[in-house]
Amino acid sequence: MQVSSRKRQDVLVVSLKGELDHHTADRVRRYIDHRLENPTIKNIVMDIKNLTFMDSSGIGVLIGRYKIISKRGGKLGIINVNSHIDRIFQVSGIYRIIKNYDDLQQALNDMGVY
Amino acid sequence: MEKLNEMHIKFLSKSSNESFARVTAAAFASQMDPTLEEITDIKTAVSEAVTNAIIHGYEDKMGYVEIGAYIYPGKLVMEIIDRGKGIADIEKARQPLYTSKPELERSGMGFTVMETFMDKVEVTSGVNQGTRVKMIKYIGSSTEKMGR
Ligand SMILES: Nc1ncnc2c1ncn2[C@@H]1O[C@H](COP(=O)(O)OP(=O)(O)OP(=O)(O)O)[C@@H](O)[C@H]1O
Ligand SMILES: [Mg+2]
Repeated sequence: MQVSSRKRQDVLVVSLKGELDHHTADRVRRYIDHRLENPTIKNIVMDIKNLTFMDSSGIGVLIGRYKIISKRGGKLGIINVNSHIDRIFQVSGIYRIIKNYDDLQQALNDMGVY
Repeated sequence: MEKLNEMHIKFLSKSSNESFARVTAAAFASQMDPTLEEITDIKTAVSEAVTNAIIHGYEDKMGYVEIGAYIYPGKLVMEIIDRGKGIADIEKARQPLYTSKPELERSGMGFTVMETFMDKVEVTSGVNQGTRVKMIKYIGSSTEKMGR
């Protein structure tokens, strides 16, 4: 699992590469929470284009980050969701709190970055 | 129905074995000529059951997780077994969003995911005896594919 990120105004764009399961979830969680120590970050966009596997451990990671960011009045968005992961998101009901954007531009626009 | 093949693996309840378990299970199932989507379904369901055995069955202790896989014509049976703490109320445990470990950021969706990707999921468990999750998936619908 490789995690990387960049900041666009108050949005943290996180890219995940590899497999997100219980074993790798801890690293992803610690990486993002460390970045979130920066109080100017209000929103998160997760780019999962290169996420080759995810199970319910990923749902837990996303809900946990959503809780942090929603306290700041921000949003959590997701982009590049493949059909398999989409099904996991659908059954878990996570789309009630996390928005699936068509692309990064749309996510950034919705978060007020132009 | 005639059993065409069978395999068993047994490994320590370490989280690093989660990927080993799902990849091995998928590799065994690949002789049934599944689609890429079916392979991912199997990987995901096995990952859920193995993760549960590790984090709920054995918690911080070490124990063995076993997988048994059985191939019948057009039908795959997977069993994931632990000898850990067991489940007192299986019906409650299987409900979406129910988790006994919210502090570990679990979402209570594991059983729901297994049910989504497999055709049948059966759970048997005894407190302090362990848990067995038996999952069935039908692979390929054509009879021509059967018995290969
Ligand atoms: N092998 C097991 N041994 C003991 N208890 C289990 C086992 N598998 C599941 N459980 C119990 O069933 C509950 C529900 O399991 P499920 O996989 O649906 O959710 P979870 O593991 O808590 O969260 P998630 O899978 O979404 O991360 C668990 O919280 C646990 O209490
Ligand atoms: Mg689980």
